[in-house]
Amino acid sequence: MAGWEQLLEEVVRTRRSALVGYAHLFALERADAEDLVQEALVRTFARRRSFPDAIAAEAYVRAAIRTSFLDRARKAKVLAGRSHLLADDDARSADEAAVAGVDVAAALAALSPQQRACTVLRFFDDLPVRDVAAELRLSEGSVKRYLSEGVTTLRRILGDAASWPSEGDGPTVPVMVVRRSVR
Amino acid sequence: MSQDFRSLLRGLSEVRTRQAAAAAPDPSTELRTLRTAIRRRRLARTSATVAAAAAVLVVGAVAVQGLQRPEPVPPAPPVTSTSTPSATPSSTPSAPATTTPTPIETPASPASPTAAGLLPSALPVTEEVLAGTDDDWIIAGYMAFIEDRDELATAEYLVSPHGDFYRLPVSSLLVDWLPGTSSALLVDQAAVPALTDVHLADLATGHTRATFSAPDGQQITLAALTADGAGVLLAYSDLASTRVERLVRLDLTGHVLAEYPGYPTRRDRPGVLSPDRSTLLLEDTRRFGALNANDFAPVALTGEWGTDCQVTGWLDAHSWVGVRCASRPTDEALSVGSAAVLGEGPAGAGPRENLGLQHDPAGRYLVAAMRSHGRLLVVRYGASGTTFEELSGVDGRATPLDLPDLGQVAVTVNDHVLLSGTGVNGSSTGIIWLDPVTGERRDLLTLVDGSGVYAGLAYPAPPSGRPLGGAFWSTD
Repeated sequence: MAGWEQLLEEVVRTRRSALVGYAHLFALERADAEDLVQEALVRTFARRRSFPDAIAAEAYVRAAIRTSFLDRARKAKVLAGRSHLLADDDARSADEAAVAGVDVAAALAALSPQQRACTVLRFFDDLPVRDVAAELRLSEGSVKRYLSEGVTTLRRILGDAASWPSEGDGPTVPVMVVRRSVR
Repeated sequence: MSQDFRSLLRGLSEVRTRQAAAAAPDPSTELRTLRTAIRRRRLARTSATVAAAAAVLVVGAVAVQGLQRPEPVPPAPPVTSTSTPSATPSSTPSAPATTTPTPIETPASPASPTAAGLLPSALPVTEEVLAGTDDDWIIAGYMAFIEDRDELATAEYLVSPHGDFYRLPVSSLLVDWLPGTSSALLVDQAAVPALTDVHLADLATGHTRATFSAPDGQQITLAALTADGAGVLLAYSDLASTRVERLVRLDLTGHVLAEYPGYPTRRDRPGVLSPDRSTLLLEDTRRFGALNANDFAPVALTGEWGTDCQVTGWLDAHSWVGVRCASRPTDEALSVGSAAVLGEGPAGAGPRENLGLQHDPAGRYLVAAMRSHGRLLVVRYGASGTTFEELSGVDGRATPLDLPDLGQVAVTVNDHVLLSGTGVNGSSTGIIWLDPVTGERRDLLTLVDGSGVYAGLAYPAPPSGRPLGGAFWSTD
C-alpha cells in the first residue's frame, strides 16, 4: 500500500467522526458535513504532498473543510443571485432561531456562512483575527465585521446562556495553521 | 448559569462527533470510494499537465492528418492583401542563430519495467516498420498508475490502423512526428509548463539527434518538423506574456534559414499550422494573416476578417480555414492563398464561402470537415459532445447523422475519423476508429480502469482549435 493510502486509512479510521463533527459546525446538515469531509479528504490527498503523520494530514483536511465550505457558500450566493428558487442559509429567520434557547446549533444556523466560518475559526479553532482572515482569504476588516455581526446575533439568541471572552483573549490551545498554496 | 461560548461550541462538536460515529459507514467501503476518487483526481491532474504541454505546442498531439504529405513547398511570391501581415520576412537573416543545437547520442530512458504488465502488449518498433507507416498510423501516449507503488507509468505506442501496437523507445512527451520517417520532436515532461528545449529524436532507436533551445527568458510555444523533415519550425515566446518574440525555421544543425519578427497573440497561440505543414495561420491580435511556413512570405487571405473572428481549424490541407465571427450568425470557410473550390456542385467556387451552419445553440463549434463515401460532413464539438452533420450544399441545410457520442474527434483520415473516447465522467476511454457514414467502429486502444490500474490517455487529445485534416475537395 502506498504511503498516502496508509495515511488516508489512519485518518479515516481514527479521525473521521471528529472531522464530521467539525464540518458540522459549518454545515447545517450532517449529510452536507459528510460531503465536506469527503471532498476535503480528496483535495488533501489528490496532490502529491507528504505529511509527517496523521496529525499533520488532519490539520490539512480541516483547512480543506473550511475552504470547501466557503467555496460552496460563494457558489450558492452566485446561484442565488440568478435564481429565486435557491434558498440561502441567511433565509433562516431570527425568530426561528430565537425560540431555540441555548441551542447553539440553531444559533449558528442563524448566521450567514461567512459569519459562521469566522465565528468557528475564532472561537472553536482559537485563531486570532489575522489568521482567520488568512485562512478564509478575507481582509481583517471583513473578518472583524463578520465577527461583530455574528456575535451580536448569537448574543441576542443565546442571551445569558453564553458568556463571551473579552476582546483581548488569544488562542487558548495550540493550533496548527496550514498555509495553502495558491491553486 | 452561563457557559463560555467556546465551551458551547466544543460541546456541540463533541455531540456531533458522537452522532457521526454512531452513523458511520463501513470504513472499508468509504476508503475504497475515497481511494478511487483520489486516484482519478491525481490522474486527471497529471493528464492535464501533459495535455497542457501539448496545447502549448500548437502542433500538439501526434495524430496524423488524413492527407498525403506534399513535396516540399517552394517559396511563394508575396501577395499583397489588406489582411496579410505587414512585417517583412527575411529568408537570409543577418543575425546569428540563437539556437544552440547539441548533437548527442543519448538513448532516451525506457518506461519503468515495473509497468510492463500494466501497459498494452506491443512489438518493438523497427526502422522498417516506421518507414512503412503512412497517414493512417497514429502515435498514442498511455499512462497508468501502479496501485501498490503509487507509481505513474507512461509509454508511447505506434498504432497501426488495425490496432497493432509497437512500443516506442522514448519516455518524453512526443509533440510531432512525420509519418514514413523515424523523426520526431520530444519535450521533457518536467519542463512543463515552460518549454525551453525541444529534442529531435529517432523513434527507432530512441536516440536524441539534436536539442533546440529557446533564447534566455523565452519559451518555445510552437514546434513542428518541416514538411520535408529537413528542419524545424519554432516559435519563441516571452515567458511573462503571450507575445511571440520570433518565428524561426532552422535546419537540423540549428542554422536559421528564415525568421519572422514578433507579434502579440490571441489565445496564447502563435498560430495554426496547416495539416500539410505548408502554411501558418497567425493568431495575431492585430490582424489575421498567413505565412508560407517555408520562408515566411505572406500568403493572401481572401475575405473580411474582423478581430471578433476566431479560427476553428483548417478544413483541408492548406486552402480553407473554418472561421466563426461574433458579428455573423453562421460558420464560414475562408480561402487561404489562391482561389480554390470548396466542396462540389452547389458549394460553388469563390474566395469565401458561407457554410450556412447556424451557430450551435449548445455551443459546439466547427472543428472539421471531411468527405466520407462521397458525402460532405462537418464535425462540431463542445461541452455537450460531438456531432456529425451532412451538408447538402451551402444553403444551411445540415442533417445530423445518427451516431452515438463516442468522444472527441482527434483526426480525420480519408473516410474515417479517430476519436479520443470519453467516458461518462469525462475521463478518456481509449482511441476509437469510426466510419461516420457506415457506423463501423473499431477500438484501437481500450483503457483499463479496474483493480490495480488506473490508466489515462495522453494523446490523441487535440487542444481547442487544433487543425484537423479534412477532405474538402479543392483545387489550386
